[in-house]
Amino acid sequence: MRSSLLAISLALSSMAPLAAQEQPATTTKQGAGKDAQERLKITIRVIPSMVKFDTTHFEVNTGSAVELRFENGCIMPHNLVLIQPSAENALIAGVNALGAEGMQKHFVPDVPGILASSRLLQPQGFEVLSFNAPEEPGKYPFLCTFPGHWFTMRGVMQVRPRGERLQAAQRETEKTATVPDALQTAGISHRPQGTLDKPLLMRTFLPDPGLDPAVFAHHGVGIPGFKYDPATRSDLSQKKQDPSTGKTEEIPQRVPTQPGIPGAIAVNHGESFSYAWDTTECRLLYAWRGGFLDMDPYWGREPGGGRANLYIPKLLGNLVYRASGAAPFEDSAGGSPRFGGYRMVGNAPEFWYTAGSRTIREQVLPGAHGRFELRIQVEGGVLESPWKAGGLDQGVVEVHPEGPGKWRVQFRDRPEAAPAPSGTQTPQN
Amino acid sequence: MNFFFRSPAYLTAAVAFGVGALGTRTLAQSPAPDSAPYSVQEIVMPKGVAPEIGGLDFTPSGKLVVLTRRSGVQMAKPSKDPAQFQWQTFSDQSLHNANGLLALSDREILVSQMPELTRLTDTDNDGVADSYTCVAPWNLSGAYHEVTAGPVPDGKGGYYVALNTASYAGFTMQHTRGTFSAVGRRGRNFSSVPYRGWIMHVDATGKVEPWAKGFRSPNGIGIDPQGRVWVTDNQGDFRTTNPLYHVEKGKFYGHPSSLVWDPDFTKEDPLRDPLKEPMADLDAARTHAAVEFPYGFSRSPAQPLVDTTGGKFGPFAGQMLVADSAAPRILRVMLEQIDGVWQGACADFYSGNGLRNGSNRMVFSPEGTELYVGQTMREWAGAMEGLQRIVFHGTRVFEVLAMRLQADGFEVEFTQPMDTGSAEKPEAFETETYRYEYLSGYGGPEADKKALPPSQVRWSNDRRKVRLTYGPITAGRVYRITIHGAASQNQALGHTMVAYTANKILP
Repeated sequence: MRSSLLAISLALSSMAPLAAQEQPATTTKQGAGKDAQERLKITIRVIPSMVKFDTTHFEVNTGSAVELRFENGCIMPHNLVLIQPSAENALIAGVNALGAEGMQKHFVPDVPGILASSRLLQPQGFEVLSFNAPEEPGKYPFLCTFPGHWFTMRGVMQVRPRGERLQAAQRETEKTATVPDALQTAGISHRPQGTLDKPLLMRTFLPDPGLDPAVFAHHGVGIPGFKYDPATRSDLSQKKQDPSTGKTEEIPQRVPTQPGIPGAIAVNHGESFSYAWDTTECRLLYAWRGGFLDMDPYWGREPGGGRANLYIPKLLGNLVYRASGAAPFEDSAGGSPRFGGYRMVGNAPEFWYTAGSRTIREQVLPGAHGRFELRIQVEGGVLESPWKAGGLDQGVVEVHPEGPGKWRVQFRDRPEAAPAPSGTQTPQN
Repeated sequence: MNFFFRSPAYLTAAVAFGVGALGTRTLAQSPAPDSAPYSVQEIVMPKGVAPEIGGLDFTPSGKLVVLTRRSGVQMAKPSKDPAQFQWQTFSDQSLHNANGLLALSDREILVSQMPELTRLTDTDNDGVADSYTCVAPWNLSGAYHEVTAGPVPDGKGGYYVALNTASYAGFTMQHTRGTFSAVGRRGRNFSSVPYRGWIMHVDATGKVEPWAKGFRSPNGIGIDPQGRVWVTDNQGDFRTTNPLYHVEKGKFYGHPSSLVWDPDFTKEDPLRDPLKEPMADLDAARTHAAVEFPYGFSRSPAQPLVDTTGGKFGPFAGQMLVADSAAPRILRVMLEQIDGVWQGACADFYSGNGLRNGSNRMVFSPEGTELYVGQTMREWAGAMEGLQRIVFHGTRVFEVLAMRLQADGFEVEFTQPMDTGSAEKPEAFETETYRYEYLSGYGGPEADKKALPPSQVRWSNDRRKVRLTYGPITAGRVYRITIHGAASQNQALGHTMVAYTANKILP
């Protein structure tokens, strides 16, 4: 009879004593002998009004004695059903088939694959389930089978081989948060944008949309690494058999590099204009129109998202300018440029850096008629215009000297037919 | 027998405890919520601000400065009502994974971003930063893992900053910021550009110096009132568990990848690979952790913060608190110096009870009665983001106050006198001892573990201190005690587990 297999469930008069009970329960167990002490104890509570367990993952070793205490501090009734790895569909179908009998049967149908189940606990009730963990390692789901609750009210009991270290040591205090996530309500867009008058400045990894390698004169050159096993301290390789010769070869497993730029600043003036200015090369790298950045590859999916796997955002829109060749101030001033920072002039940043004895200030501004401009100011040494005819950067249409060491350089859009190349994964060998 | 069909042999009824059953027993109780010495309050941030906290500090005028991952820098004078802070945006720029903050004044703050240490200044006094100066650039291979912790002030106008290594779960970019080293690129966590895995020092003139090496994922750096630098690191390769290090200039702290940027290491062979060094040599060269946090105690330690409130935050003045970003917990560290080496014990300071998971950064309020705690997991293990404060109510705290090494055991001191008759017998101090081997793999077990019941339990006359005798203590082992049945004025001990890392022993 099923009821004999279920633990005793008691209703408590209020929630307050629940916390206090942990202590006496443990204290009382001490005298119960060695067996009781070796039981792995886990308490799972309901997060009030959230339709969630406060513990979504716990670990046990195969065959170990487990004492699972389930507390319902919620205003709704809940149960906890622990099942074998592939039993969920049958269980849910069984629950749905219970129909009007559901309440009476505690929403626990008579289907195979149920390892342990509580009764349907009324508010403030609790129950202790004692069982031995399965002999088969794996992930055993637990869920509340009150209709509809299983979408959010679920977790996993990870069974590890006997003797294997449990990744999550079980203690009363190690339960996951019972505090709602403030990120959910913040509404951070993964496609952020500024406006023409109030540009948005973001420091982030950025994609390299196929720039002339000469632009990266002051960067290192990342080359693909090897997959690595820390335990044996060795690079990993794969055995491959050549079908024609039958010989087996060891092929090293490589990790590709990504076409990214690690230290640039992206600025967006709304749909009409965005640019990337690099703090390593200290120059304008590229500009684009028709969007800004899709941050999903870096931030994960909205709102909280999962862990991202590429970490380089995608450019949205079309490139209208790409830098090429060596930096304008490098040879003439000597030494590598060093980024000094930026100050906000109006709402737009004015970058500054030093190259040799000179300090250079640059501001990138959107303009009308498919143009944008770079305002440059050089201190610490007279210099001819760096933007000579057939200049280092393509796309320069007009250079306006504005006084000693001051220029306004206008660029005209050179729209590219294809959408902006973005940081897609391109395996390299 | 097949477990998958419920069988009485496998699923037996257990005793459950109800209120009525306990009424007849005189057992120590945890304090009722309204008399608990500490409680958590949720600080409400402005709408539209993602509270992914990378830094917390107070300005000298008492404004709380909050550094976020994507919502810039927010400031507010704290109010009694945690929902009524009057927030002002000091910067609305998205700084790159900003993960460290130092507030120099209402108008000037320092921020650690991935590529640099940046000074944000409000030059025209309108409450908004308008100047962003690069104080020191950091190199990046382009891995998400290369975040920074700090800055902490060196007391002479300079700063210390901790630089994480890259992780093989991320990528290396084709264009790296800083010289790329293929040798440094090898490994689980690696240092393919200088000076990943190092603690950096920036002096008052802006000169940058690689200061100490051998770190993996040092997401916590702190400085104590005596100017000593403390760094936490994260369990992983060459990190059998989560450590706390006392860091000194020039020393090596055990994760080898950073050595590719050590001129002494590469003096004779520029391509010398630290991962090919014999483990015994690396082991001999490393400085051990002051405290090895048992993995169950700390999953992912973040900022260490010394309690400088002089008792306004409870009885733990001078002790260190350590945020844990992968469990709803803040640890407490009780240090002592033996034979010139730092070591000591750790216990939970606050766990559960409304504290969110993901605690990353902490700061005491100017009054000292509150601890602000900022959380972020950066969407890794589920979102755990927000700002809270732990308030001390001045009520009775019953915890372990100290654990001190003796020649033949330990002295454990409590904040309150133990009730007569409680924790008298050796069984009340369930003890086990084990050691952490130095392993290249990811984490490792508590090795050579054995139960070690105390042979003698002797209480002091004031019943605040207990001497536990075990026989000779062995250097290089952890001693973990779980205290059962401890009560003071019928109040149960708040946190019952304490673990001591014995680097050195007494003669």
